[in-house]
Amino acid sequence: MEQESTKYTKLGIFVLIGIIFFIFILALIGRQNNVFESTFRIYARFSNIEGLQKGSNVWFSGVKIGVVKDVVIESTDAVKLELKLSDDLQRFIKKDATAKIGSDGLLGNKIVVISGGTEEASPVAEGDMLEASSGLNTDDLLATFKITNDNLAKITDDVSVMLTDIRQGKGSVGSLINDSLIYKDLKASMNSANLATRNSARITQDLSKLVNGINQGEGMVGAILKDTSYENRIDHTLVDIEKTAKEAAVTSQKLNEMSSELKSLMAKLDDPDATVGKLLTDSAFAQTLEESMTNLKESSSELDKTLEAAQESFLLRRRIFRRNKEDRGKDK
Amino acid sequence: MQNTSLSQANPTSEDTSKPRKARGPKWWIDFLVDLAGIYLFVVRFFKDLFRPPYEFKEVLNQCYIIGYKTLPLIAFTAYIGGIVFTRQSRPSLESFGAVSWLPSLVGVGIIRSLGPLIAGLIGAGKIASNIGAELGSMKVTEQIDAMEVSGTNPFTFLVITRVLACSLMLPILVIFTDILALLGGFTNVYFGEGVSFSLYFSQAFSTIEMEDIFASTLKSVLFGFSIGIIGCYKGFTSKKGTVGVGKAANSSVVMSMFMVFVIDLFTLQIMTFIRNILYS
Amino acid sequence: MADTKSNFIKPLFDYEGRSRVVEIEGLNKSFGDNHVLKNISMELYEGENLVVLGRSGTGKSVLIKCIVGLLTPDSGKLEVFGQQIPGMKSYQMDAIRKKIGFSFQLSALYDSMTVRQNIEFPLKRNVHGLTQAEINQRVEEALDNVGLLYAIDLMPVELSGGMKKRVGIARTLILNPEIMLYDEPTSGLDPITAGEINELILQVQEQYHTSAIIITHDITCARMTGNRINFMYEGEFVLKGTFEELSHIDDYRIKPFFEYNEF
Repeated sequence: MEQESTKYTKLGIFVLIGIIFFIFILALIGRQNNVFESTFRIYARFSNIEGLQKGSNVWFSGVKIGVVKDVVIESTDAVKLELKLSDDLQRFIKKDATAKIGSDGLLGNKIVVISGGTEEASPVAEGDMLEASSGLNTDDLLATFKITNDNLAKITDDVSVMLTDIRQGKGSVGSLINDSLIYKDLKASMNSANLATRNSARITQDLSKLVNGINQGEGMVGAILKDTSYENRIDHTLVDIEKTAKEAAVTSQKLNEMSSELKSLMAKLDDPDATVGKLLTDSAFAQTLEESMTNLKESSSELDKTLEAAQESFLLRRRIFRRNKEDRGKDK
Repeated sequence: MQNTSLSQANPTSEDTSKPRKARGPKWWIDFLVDLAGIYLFVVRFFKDLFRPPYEFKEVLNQCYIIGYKTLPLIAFTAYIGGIVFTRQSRPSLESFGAVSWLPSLVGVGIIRSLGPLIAGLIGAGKIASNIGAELGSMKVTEQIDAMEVSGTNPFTFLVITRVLACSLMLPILVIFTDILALLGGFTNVYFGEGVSFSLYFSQAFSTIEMEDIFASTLKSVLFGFSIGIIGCYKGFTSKKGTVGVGKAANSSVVMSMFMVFVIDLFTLQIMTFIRNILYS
Repeated sequence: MADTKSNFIKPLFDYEGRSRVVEIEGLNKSFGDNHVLKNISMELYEGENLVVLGRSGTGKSVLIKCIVGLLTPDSGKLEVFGQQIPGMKSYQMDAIRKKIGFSFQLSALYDSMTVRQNIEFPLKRNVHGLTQAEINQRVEEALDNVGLLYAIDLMPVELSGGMKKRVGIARTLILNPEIMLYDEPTSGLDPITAGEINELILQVQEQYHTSAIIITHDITCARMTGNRINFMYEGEFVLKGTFEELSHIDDYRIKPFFEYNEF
């Protein structure tokens, strides 16, 4: 028979540890939901919150500072979010800061990211409305890729047709020169090339940012990557993305070159001083045109590859899968 | 003198009616009888709960036996359960390339479901059988009768104390189970991916809500209550002999394990209902 | 009535002027189709030891369980201290039970408690306002009366059958009962221990001035402890009288009890 006092002591310790564990769990959850901190509320209005929910996290400079308290659909294209943020961070969030919908990793939950804001601006006050900006969206990123590629393909076709025409000497020189259709085509090609260049440049930037973000351990996925040994497994994915980014940069550069070539071609066509005969006999011009086309072809195929690489990249796979599913849904 | 002293009682006519034929299979009748009996037990529990005398010391004693003495078994089971659960979850997450979500998955799985279930089932196995056997043997050796004739309400002394102790201790055991199962999960993730302790725990609790803890606590109180009530009921209604005691212990385990699952489902429905009210 | 009463008297026991503490008339009890007690009538006088003799399974235990309210009879009069037991409110029942000591066949010691805790269990719950010292003193006294003071801190599993019986009796005596009910006090004991228990029963009668109903199938026990014997056969009292009287009756139902002990 055990002594009663030792029995009760053991029981007491048991219960005490149990309660400590309980408080520990509550505290962990509480920290997650800002239950125990004093908070303030601000608002942000979006047209599309991409599946954000009540209780979703709010990040500021990659730090979790609060949660989404409420989601109210105000009109056909406006959703107002009520953000509950911890009080002691109020002074860092300026009135000119912007809110956008992001995610805590490519596969992760949707979050509200508060960023920007200048040092001089005054801090937000309770009940302020933050300006919303549309953020980097992987869907958009891939869509842009696709459009750029399509554009390039179109240019290639256009130039190819033109080149063939010139080579085979189809039509009279006069008609060739005076043919405003060709002129327009050429102009359109140039515009497309310019657009492609810009898009390509943006994609390059976005991808670089993504890679940098992951490398610097931003975001939840970043955190896990930095903190754990997941790196091995994800390394090759990173390399993929980096390669994609580089390729996109090369593409961008080539597009730039081509664009300037096209520009000079246009200038020549526009130049009233240039004689038609000179223009036509100028084999250098033909050669330039040919080179441009080769470049375009290369660029196009490289972009295709880039797109493929991006699709293969596991981080993007889920989104592609979803898009494909949606496409299939539309087909039906 | 002999005539008067040796009085002879009148022999009464024998009642020779045949035993009534039971309608339906016997287990079905038994089940209904048990159900009614347990219902009456619950009613009596709440009736007598606030009626003096209060057996505080015995409640503490039972808390010690039910809580403290069950801890090692539950702790061990929970730890192993955590390891196995984590290990088994990995491949399916790997196929999505989402091993980084393992702590979250383990956290949700353990806090919401696995922790209370392990504690409930092990509790049913250890506590209910213990109560069933103890009260069963007290019943067949007339200890319960002895208590009653000595002017002590055996229901107050035996049933209320045990049911109270179960209802109080199970939530604490569930907390221990949660923590130890999470530690089991951590062990596995640590040797698998090398995740740090603090990251693991903040990840594990990242998708847990306050309602989950509320539900888990509610569940565990109900688990404890039903384990206690069923154990006591089976012990109290134990048939004579060692076979009766064995059956009492056995059927308390079977029935309380079954009830653990029923309550699990029941609280799930209740919590879904509450969530719908909260978020609509 | 006084006339019949005097006929019961065992030479050593004077029934004159003694009141009836238990009165039973026309008591019936059945379990389902099993009619256990059939029209039982008996009475217990203050200070006497009444033996209920009979084979096992004839309903003797059922009878005394009806007296303490553990079982409810189907019909009949059952009065203890002039109060009808069946249908009694639980607080009244508890008051009556405090005055009744019940020694169970298997002693019914609480397995999870020491001997000391077993004995102080009813005391703590029925007599309020005692200091721990007073409780200890009374526990030790009760144990001393049954000669088991040395076993005070043992667990029931460490005790022999006879010791358990005595501790059980000590546990009931701690409340100073007015009526003692012994359920098979000597069953399962060796003759020497059984003899000791019989002496203890007599000692209790003398020391605590209790009335007692002793349920037994042991003719020696009946002879040693009983002032009167009621013989039960298949749920009925078929013969009543002193040991002397019964031993001379030539009845096929009671003969085997006496023959068993003859050699």
